[in-house]
Amino acid sequence: MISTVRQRADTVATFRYINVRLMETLAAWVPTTAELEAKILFGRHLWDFAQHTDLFGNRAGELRLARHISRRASAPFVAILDRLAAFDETDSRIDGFYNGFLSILENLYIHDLEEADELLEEPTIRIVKRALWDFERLQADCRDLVAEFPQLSTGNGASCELKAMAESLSGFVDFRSDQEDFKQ
Amino acid sequence: MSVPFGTREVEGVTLRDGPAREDCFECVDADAEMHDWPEMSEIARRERLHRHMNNECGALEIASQCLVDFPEAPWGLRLNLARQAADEARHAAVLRRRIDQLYGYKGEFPVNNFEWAITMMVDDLPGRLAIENRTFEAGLIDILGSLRDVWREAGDSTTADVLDAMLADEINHVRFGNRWIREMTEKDPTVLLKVAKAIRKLATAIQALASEAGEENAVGVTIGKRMAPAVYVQGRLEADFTEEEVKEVLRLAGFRSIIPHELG
Repeated sequence: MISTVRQRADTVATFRYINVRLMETLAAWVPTTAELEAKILFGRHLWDFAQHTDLFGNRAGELRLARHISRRASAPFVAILDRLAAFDETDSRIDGFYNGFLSILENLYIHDLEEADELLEEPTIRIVKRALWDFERLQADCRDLVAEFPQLSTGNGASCELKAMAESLSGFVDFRSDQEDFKQ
Repeated sequence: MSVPFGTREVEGVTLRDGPAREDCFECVDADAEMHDWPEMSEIARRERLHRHMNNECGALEIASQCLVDFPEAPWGLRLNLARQAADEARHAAVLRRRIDQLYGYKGEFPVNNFEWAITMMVDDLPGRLAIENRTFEAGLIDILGSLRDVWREAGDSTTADVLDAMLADEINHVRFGNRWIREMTEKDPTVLLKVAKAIRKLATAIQALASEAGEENAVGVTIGKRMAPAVYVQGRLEADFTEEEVKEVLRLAGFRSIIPHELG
């Protein structure tokens, strides 16, 4: 399906917004998580979301938005990100992030790949595929951690809560209206 | 900007409350409360690695908190901080693994979170970069430059190689700190005032909390006169300190008469 450059730019800038939020969420959890191994996991993985942010930020510039500018996601999607960031127990953070939010984002990325024109949108597709490939490693790291420290595996239903919020989503991009400037 | 941690007074200095640690860790404020042995016995080696692991955690926490506290910082700087956080996390993990290999364990010795406690009292990013990247991490370049050889001479080339790999990463962290402070200062010369204020705060805290020569530490070792580590000239130059700055560090460390010819 061919969408307009304007729509693609808004989607890419929204992906950037989501990745900045994930980087900041993990960063905020580093000093407030007591368990050394979980702290280390969050610290290693925030770099992955920084890299995805960087790639989407550059791509937004190529799609005629300013480089490294984010577009805030739709209000219901922001509510999911806010809920994720508010988890304060380590097991909820791990379950919410790796089993909950990454799965939601994975679905968004896969849906985007299915919708995108593979030739016209090849640069964006490569970024999204790279992110999905990284997710496998992040989730494997998390599984290794939980296998070593089973007390971190309970999660208190954090992932279920986030997935339930995502079920009612009708979209995650807050597209610009015709009146909004093309450049931000 | 709000660090979600309270403060406490120690020896007349206001310090930020420590980052979260598991109950197995005993957190102390003074060097004299640490278990520090001068030689390279087995227990001394484990303590050195344990202390270093906690310091790497501190650097990870500082870089991470900077990402949270300064969302408006230039994206390039945030990207550098994110990379630093990941590097420090890897360092902590590698040291944890090495401690296990040497039959040590998490919480075996007291830890001190001074770097976090003082850096987080500064509420601007140039000041934090000046303390953490340009001072503590630059000091680590000097320490690692000589520690590699100490471990190798003690017959532990595995740890020496670990420290050598970390040194390469730390040089990058100091380099980006130096570059961003320079760039921010060029855009706004008042940044220098923030840097100077932060460094003054650090110097005051170090002076107030330093142990006295002759005092005994927690394991009965008499604390000697603190010697600055040998300045690792090549490492500092690679980290984008100017030759003038390296010469100044050498002078302050008492090496005026033996400043390398190439810097003379």
